[in-house]
Amino acid sequence: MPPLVSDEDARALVRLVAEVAPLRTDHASAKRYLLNGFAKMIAADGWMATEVARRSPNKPVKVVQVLDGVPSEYTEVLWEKIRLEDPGSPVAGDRSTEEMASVTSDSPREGDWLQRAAVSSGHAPGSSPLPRIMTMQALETRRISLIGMFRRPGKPDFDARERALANLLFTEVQWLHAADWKSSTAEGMPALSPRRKMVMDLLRAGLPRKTIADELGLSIHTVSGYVKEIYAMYRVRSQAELIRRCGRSVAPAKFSCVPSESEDEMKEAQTIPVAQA
Amino acid sequence: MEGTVSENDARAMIRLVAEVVALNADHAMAKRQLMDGLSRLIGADCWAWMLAYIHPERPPVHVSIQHGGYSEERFAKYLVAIEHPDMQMLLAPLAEEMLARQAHLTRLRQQIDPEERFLRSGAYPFWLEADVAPLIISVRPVNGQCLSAIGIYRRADAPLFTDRERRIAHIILTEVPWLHELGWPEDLGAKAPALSRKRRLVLNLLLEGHDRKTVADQLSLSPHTVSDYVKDIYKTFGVNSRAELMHRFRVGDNGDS
Repeated sequence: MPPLVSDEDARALVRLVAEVAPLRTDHASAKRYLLNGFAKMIAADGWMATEVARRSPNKPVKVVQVLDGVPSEYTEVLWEKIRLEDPGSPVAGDRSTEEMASVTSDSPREGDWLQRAAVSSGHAPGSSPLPRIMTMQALETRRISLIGMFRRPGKPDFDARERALANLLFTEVQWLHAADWKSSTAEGMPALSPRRKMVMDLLRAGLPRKTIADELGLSIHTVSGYVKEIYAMYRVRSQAELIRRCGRSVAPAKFSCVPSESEDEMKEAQTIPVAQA
Repeated sequence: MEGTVSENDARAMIRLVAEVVALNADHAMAKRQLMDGLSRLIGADCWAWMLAYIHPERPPVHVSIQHGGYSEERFAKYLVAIEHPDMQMLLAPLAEEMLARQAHLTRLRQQIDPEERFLRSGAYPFWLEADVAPLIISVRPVNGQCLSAIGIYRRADAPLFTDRERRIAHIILTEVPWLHELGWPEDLGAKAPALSRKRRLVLNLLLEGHDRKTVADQLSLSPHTVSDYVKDIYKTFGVNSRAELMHRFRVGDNGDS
């Protein structure tokens, strides 16, 4: 007998996804809306959605884009852990991205690093597990979309139904793993090379060229060249215009300082409240 | 099993809605893509959406708003078929049940008409002419005495829709409320409720291209009353002419610059 989904759950997921259309919002806000709605549906306290990239197998991973949703006390430690290449982390581990095509898991291996991240910071009681559902999907070469749903330490673990629903939503809504609407529909805008895409994401996060160059280990001249190409491709003349046109992405926690010209847009993009208990 | 759908069907529905959302399209286009996608999902050939005003004593006034899968010629034949007086036999009990329960209903032809009176009715030859016979009809109450009806059809020689296909259609048509609306809530929601039911009906008839005189006849109103309604409607949507009104709804910019 093929697996079944309750009528009520199928309806709730269809309704949730359909609610995004009338919002007529940018891609990042749509993602946030959907993840907040789903967190509510499975009684999760927080979520994270991020793209990570590794330039070569032996180099540290780079967090390219992160959407907020994680209760703030975890944000810092999560990114610290990923940056430090915790060997237990699914991102920094030795598995190739190709092997990770669309894995949803709550196995100890995927969950451990998150738990240890919380524990090591002293924010969570040492013995309490952190209930979580992690989904990874390989994007293009060496880029991974990572979506996590979790509850506060000490709360009951997610059950089989909740994991199955997460799997349905995160594998069928492909734009949850994309950086914009277009790249999830395979038509429309010409594709950017992976490196230009990284630059693009950081530009959309409002970072100055210098910071982008430092972050990606490139010279400022190289970055400027990419920026010119990106502007030409999207027919814009400034970073502000690019953000207006393509929507804002949220920078990793480390880059909390945002150029003042974009602050208004930042507020605009974050009007949907974050799901927290 | 009762109260469940297969995982594959659930996946297909979620994927379809998500793909339509990703188009980030205007309302009319999003709706068309979703209805076309639903048709593909359940092997339907064409679909049509109409709004109807149910008058207590007279046959309902149907206004066809949007359709897909039909050639122009075939759609004209379909309109003749659905307007055939014998169709009341099929549609009236459904509309009554919907009004009584104030619930969204989705039914197969064989459920509404288990004795197959449809096949012996005067309307049947017209349906054959339009090359449609298997059908799913979904009706949703709108503001008391109006209803939004979506018909999903197959060619006359195709097998009848199954209950599985009906349930897929029912889930999508009930859980995506904007399939029954004329625009996104942000475009219309704040304004449409300000329009009375009669004005909404006039709006729909205007959008169908009817002139004021025809609208007045159809709704048994005086042309002066209709003219007043039309003025209200233009004011509500901030337009000055019929052409502008049609543009707002049909071209689909819906006020988005």
